Amino acid sequence: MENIYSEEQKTVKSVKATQETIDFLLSYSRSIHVVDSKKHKFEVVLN
Amino acid sequence: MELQIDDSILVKNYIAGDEKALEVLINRHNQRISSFIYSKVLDRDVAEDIFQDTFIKVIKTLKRGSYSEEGKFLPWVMRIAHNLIIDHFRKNKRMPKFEGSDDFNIFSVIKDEKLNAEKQIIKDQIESDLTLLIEELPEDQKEVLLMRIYKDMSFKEISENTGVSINTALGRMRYALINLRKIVARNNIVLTN
Repeated sequence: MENIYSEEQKTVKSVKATQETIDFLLSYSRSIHVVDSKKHKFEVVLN
Repeated sequence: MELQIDDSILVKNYIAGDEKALEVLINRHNQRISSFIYSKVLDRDVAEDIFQDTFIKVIKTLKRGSYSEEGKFLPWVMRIAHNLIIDHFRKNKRMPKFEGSDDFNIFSVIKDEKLNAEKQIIKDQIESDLTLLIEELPEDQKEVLLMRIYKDMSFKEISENTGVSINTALGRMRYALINLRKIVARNNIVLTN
C-alpha cells in the first residue's frame, strides 16, 4: 500500500461560475460591437 | 453519442457572429477555469469576478480580431485568468485588507470620536441655549461662571482677577449653578444630548 506522506490531503474544490455570470457574459457579448476606423478599433457597447 | 465540436471551430464561428458558440465554449470550460481560479484565490466571490473579467477579455480580443490560433483556446483562457489572479494579489498587496473575525472587530477598538451631524446640531443648540441662560444670571455670578467654565481659570485666579476671596468666588459659582437650574426648571428647558 502506498504511503501517504502529507498529513493533510490537498483537495481542490470543484466550482463553477453561476448562471447569472454566464448570462451577463452572453449579454455583454451580444451588446459589444467593434467599429473599425482607419488605424483604430473602437468598442461600442449597445444596450 | 453526442458530437463535440472542436474549440477552434467554435471560436471561428463566434468570430463570424455565432453568439451561441460562445455559450458552448463558456459552459464547456466553466468548471475547469472556475476551479483553477478558486484554487488560487480561495474565495467564491473573487473567483466569480475573475472568471467574469477573464471572459470579458476573451470576448473583447475575439471581437477585435486580435486572437491568433497559435495554441489551444483553453490554455489561452487559462493564461488570461492566471494574469488576472496575479493582478488581484498585486492589488491586495498594495491595499491590504483587514477583516475582523467573530471574536475581534477592529471597530470596537478604533472609532470615530467626532459627533455625527445630528448630535453636532444638538450640541450646538444646547451651547447656544446655555449662553442665553447665563445672560440671565446676576453680573457677579456670571463673571465667575464664565471665568471658571469658559476660561478654565482656577478659583485662586478668579479671586485674584475679581478682587474677592476664594470662598466668595466659590459661593458665587455655587449660586450661579443653582440659579441656572432654577431658570431651566422654570422655563421647562430640556438640555440633553
